Amino acid sequence: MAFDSGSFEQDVPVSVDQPSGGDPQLAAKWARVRGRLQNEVGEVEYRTLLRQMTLVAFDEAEIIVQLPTKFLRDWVRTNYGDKLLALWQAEDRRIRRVEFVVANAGAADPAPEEPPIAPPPETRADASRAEPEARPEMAAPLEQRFTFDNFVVGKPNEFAYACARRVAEHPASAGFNPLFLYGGVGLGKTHLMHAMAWDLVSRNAGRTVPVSVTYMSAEKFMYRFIAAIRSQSTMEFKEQLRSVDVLMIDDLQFLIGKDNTQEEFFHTFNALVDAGKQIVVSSDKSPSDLSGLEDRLRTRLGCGMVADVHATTFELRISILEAKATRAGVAVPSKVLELLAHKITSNVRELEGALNRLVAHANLFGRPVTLETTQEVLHDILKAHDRKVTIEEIQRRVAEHYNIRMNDMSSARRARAVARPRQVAMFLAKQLTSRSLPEIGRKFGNRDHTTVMHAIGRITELMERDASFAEDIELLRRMLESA
Amino acid sequence: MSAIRQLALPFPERFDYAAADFIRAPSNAEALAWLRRTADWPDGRLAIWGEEGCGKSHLLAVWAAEKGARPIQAPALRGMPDLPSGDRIAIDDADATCDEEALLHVLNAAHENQVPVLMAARSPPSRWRLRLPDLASRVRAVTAVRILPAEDELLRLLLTRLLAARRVPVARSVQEWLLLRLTRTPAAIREAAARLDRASLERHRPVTRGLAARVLDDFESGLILHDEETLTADHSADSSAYRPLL
Repeated sequence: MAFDSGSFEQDVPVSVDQPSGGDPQLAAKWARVRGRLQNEVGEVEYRTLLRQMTLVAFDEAEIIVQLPTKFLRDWVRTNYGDKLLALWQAEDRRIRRVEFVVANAGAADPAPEEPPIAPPPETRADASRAEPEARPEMAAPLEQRFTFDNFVVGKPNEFAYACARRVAEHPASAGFNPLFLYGGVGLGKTHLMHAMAWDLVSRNAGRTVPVSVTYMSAEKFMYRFIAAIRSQSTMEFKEQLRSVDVLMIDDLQFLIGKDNTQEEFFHTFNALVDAGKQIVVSSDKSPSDLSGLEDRLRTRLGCGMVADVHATTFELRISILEAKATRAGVAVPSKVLELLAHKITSNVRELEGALNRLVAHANLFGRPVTLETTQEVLHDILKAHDRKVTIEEIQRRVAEHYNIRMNDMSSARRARAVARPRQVAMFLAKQLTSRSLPEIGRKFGNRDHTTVMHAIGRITELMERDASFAEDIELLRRMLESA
Repeated sequence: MSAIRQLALPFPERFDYAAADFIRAPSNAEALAWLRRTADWPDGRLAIWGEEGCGKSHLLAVWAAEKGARPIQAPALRGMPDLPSGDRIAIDDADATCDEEALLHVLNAAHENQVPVLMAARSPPSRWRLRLPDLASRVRAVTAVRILPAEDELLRLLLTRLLAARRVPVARSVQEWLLLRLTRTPAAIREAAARLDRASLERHRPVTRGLAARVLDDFESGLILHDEETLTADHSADSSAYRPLL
């Protein structure tokens, strides 16, 4: 890929040498003008500032040149306007003026149409297909992939899973209302709730009055409640909530400290339970540990079934990764799965996130998933921090590696046994730090920057010629970066 | 002693973050590849990260503008903000979020509405210091792509660009002289362009090698440029690029 400023969306050449009308003579003149201009102003200026010029119109006395941005137009007009006119006049004496215009942003750089990030779910929790007058705005959409079939069961979550299945099969049965699921973030509580909703809806699809399930986060509950107060429609809000068969509220801990919303939830809770409707609640703590929640609410939350989801074990993490990789249809070596299961222990969301990244990267760049690509792509997760390497560390490590003394890095000795390692250290200092070449030179016994340049050139050349030497340098680089 | 200098009024660089002004290079190729494929982002979320001044805000703005959106500054997020209109959400300085619940709310609401979210930050999401566990676990699952340290050639093009944006003519030879001596980071290049601009304005002189040398000396001795640009919150420019360097 070239260094270039130009179109963001497409990797296409940005200059157009064919003016509108396609007059080959005119195109040849324009090419000559550009060529001369490039010779006069130099390569860097030309490429950064002038390459994006397009000839858009021409009549006998006037040339119109287009640039993609206002900044470029102004800059080119001020600095190169006279020069361009002179160059044109050399081609065609009739030309009197060169005009500069800005490209129409929309026309010049069309953004390709992209599909939405995910297909819209076909079903909502409240079964809006079966129930036309349902309340689409009340519930949050359900994740298609969060079904019971896709839930990987292991020791840490088998109890919560069994409770969820039971409630989906027999909602509002004694001892299971409310169902209170708790555990750390990203362990599958939301997955279980969505799975229950899918199951309830499909199980009751044949009924004349379809079952109405509403799932929402506590955050959304609060948001809706506040919005209802603002728009003076709290009665509507209450009625809508109290007419559902199953209400699921995710992440209840969000209501801590929000007294008015808690109060409203408490009343909704009581109304639904009294009417024999099922309530499912999730939280990061058990009801008794939810300090900051009103006592009467805590008591009611704990009087049904309380099921905890424990942190995952290594075995469960492996099973989850295997299931997920199979579903994604991507071959992931078992060594990679083990690395992920070993390194990402905090929760399933992060674990799946890491695997998603790997798969997306493999698809985007057409590379298979290997241990090497994993280390590269997930570098930021697998390493707690990137180290800033100092020139001194580089010198010390290189001196150790070649078995020379540290002060030979700055000594005047020119024997190859000393000079070559010194050159290697200079090369690595350029690669691994952002120091300027004169600064690097100073750290190596006040050497001149040209000496540093020579060293970099020499090592680059040696690496190209000698594969084992290149490997050696690569090894040093990795050791320094991960030390 | 030197003659009295005229106070130079700030004349900030203005890039307006146009797509055509972005300099493509191997160091940002992977980020660009991801940005071109919004539909492929896992969970509809992506974070780009990299050193100060590496072009994150520029990319963020270009990506957002494709669908008529404007980037949100994460430190300004408060409470339960309504989702901004537009089909994309771009959050700048995401690792400097003050109100974590507000960011969580935006992420959740965007997910629910199937709106893709792009975040830009100096560090990868896995290393942001977050206190809210729900936010932390979501953020850590976000696909992160790094903009690598800038190549020499990119720094060369950047200096030329920045000087042009400030309307400061500097001979190629002086630019090369500077490039060799400046710390090889985009932030240092930006700072140098700002200092040269100011020095040239104050002295009513074009930038010669002598003037460049003086600017560089001040730079190295740790003199910090106090410029209105550092203080005004200019959302159209990457104000973080003007923070003191040394």
